[in-house]
Amino acid sequence: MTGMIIRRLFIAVFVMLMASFLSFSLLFFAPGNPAEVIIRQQTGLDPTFYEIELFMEQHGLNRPFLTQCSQWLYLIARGDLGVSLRTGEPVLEEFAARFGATLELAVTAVTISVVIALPLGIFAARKPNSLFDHVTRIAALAGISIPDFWLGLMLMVCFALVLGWLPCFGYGTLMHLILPATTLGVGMTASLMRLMRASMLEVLHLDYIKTARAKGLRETVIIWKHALKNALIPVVTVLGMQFGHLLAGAVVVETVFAWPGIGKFLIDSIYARDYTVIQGFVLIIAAIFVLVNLLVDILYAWLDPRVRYVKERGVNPVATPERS
Amino acid sequence: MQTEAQAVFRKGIVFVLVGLLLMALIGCNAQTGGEEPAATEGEKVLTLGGVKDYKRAVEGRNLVFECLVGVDHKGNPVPKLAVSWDVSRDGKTYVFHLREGVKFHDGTSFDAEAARFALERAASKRPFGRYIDGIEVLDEHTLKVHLKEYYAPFLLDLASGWGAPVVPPQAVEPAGSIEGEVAHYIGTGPFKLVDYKKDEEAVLVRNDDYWGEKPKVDKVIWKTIPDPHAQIIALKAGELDMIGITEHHSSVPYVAVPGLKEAGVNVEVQSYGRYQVLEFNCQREPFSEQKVRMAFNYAIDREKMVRELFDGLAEPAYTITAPWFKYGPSNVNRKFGYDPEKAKQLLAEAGWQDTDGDGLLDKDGRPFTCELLIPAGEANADAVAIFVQSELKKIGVDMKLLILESGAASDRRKKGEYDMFVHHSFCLPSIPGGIAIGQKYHSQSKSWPAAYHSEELDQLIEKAWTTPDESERQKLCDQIWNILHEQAPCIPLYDIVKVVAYRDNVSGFQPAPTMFEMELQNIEVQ
Repeated sequence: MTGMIIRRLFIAVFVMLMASFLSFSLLFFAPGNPAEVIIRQQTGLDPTFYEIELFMEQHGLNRPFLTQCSQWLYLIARGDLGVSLRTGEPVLEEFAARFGATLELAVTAVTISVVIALPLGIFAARKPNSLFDHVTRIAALAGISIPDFWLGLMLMVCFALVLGWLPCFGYGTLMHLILPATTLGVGMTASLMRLMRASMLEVLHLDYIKTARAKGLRETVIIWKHALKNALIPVVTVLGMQFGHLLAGAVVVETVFAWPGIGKFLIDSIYARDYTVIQGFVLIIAAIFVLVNLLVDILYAWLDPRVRYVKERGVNPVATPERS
Repeated sequence: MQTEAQAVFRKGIVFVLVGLLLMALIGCNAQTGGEEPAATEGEKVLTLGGVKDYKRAVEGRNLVFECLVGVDHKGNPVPKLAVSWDVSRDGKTYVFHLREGVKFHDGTSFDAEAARFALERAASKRPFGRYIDGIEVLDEHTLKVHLKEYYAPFLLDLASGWGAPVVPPQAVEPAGSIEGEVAHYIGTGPFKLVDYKKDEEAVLVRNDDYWGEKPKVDKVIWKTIPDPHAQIIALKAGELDMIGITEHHSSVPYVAVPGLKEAGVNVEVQSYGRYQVLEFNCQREPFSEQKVRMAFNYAIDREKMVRELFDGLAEPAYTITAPWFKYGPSNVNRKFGYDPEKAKQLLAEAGWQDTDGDGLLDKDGRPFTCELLIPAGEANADAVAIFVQSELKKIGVDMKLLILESGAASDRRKKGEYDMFVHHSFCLPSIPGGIAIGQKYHSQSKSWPAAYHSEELDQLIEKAWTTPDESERQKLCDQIWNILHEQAPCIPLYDIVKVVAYRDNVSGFQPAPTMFEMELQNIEVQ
């Protein structure tokens, strides 16, 4: 297990640097010019050619591609993510100022969807094609199909404007968290519920479940003790990916509810071709992605002893029967 | 095989972890949360909704930082931190007489040294710096600026909150360096920035030592809400007092205006002479032909457009920029109008006729198709483009629409790779209309290589903006405008008005002279 973790962390460094390098190259060769967009944002006017040249020169944007890349690597090696072209503030500070809000939103949304989706999915799988199954299927379909921005605005109209129970927008208290987290959670809950149901149904048809039934075990024990762990494997994978995505881009919800997270800031930076912010954010987000995936793999090993056995044998020939 | 006990133990751990996580979350909330400090008794607070973060927006800058010179609605320079100025006959030396008794927010006095620092810093960052030869302090309240050559828009550049704000040495980091960036919001403006949270809010309080008319509200809170529809809901819910003022265009969608009025919200509409225009690529077929450009101008019923799309909120435009601007097109012999018959006739004269009866014009066997390039995010552009498309269909032209991300669209524009391009006319504080040296209609414009250019026009533009004689310049500008309205380099469509919406508890709203500033001094809140 330790060997796997070390190996994965080592690979993570390469993944991070590659992701960062690729995002820079793509933007560098894509049409658009940071100077032009940033000046236009700052002034509201189209910059003159001379203004663009001056900005490029002052920020070292005229230098060749490889020079800019190596410059950035040099800074990274010293633990410096550079300064945003758009805001003039250190990239790390920009990230740190916003990450807490994003994490809070993502964790809450994932929690909401896990708490709702898993039980519903399991119940639906227990009695396929029952009325309950149909109702959850329709609800899931609606949940997946409703776009975030629309749902967000509708919830806002309903709970903030008409009922006046919750604030429309903003960040800070638990009350502010409810609407955005619910909006984010709805789509996730819907897809997770369907996945849980499908996965559970599949497991329930396996031989070992038949054996368990033949032994005369109670249905509750079969489902919660024997089937659930195996059925959770694909669910955990998807959950890990979704969580990673949420950290990088709950853009729509952040925009609608004025949630001061990193998604909106990153998108604005991409439009502005703010290279340093994009590279820095991609680097950190890649790191988080790798970490979350690592956690998912560790969780796998816990859920499925076969995974643990193969992985441990691969790294360490003397397999330990139990994790410490 | 794992034992029952182990399984129970693991489940227990998971529950404990989840519990801890939730507690941590709630803990976070308890720390960062709590209601904002309640407003002190009787405190008058104006809450604005802004699409952009306060520090990223140029529109609220003038609440804190002022300029030496201001500009009125038409483009005449007016006193601000400088009460008057003398310009030498050759227009190369300016002596500014500075306002006395003005204090920065930290209590230090505004004097010629501070003004010199601010100008030198601005000059090192902004293009007008290349014209500056030297800045001299004559006495505590007099500043002299030498220019290398005559530069007509100098005072306009000084009036730009982005271009030349009066930022004192102690406001930048590293302190006193002209290379420095603003680190502390210490200006001379009517409000002081006292609290700021990235992407959340900025709190500004009244500057009781303000030299001019003091604000009537005690506090202004700028809330960042990127989504315009969410802003409208928050305004209706009473969480905001005013929206739209924080954006130079309008964050209030025109289509939302009737609904707002119905809900009892006050809506103010202000023209800043910024017209939405469709620029032609005059350097290649088919729009290198003047008759074709003219025909397109006659083909569009702008009255109907503003009525149907915007419920009459915006005025249709028949000149390239607003005629009421200083040096604007007020004396043109020919304006654009709506006359579809004339459009067809002009196209026929240019050789475009429907010979095969398919409803589309053709010439030398090629049907008349063209493409309109729309940079994403251009105000109302999608709706307008579809309207124009249907109008052109009526005269037998097939116009295709292409929406590109704005950076990609600019690149195409700079390479001249478009037929028509949705844009807006230049407005204050730059020289309106795109007729200055290096702007749209000057052949040295690297941003608009495919706009209409001619040697005659170049000469007139260069002459107009290098003569210090203002009446001479007015005559030259009239000639320039006449050529441009004769040549029809674009289709002006409508005036992009700024929409400001506010609740009943707010009164005394006054529009600022340019779309990039705001004036809150007269606003009262109940």
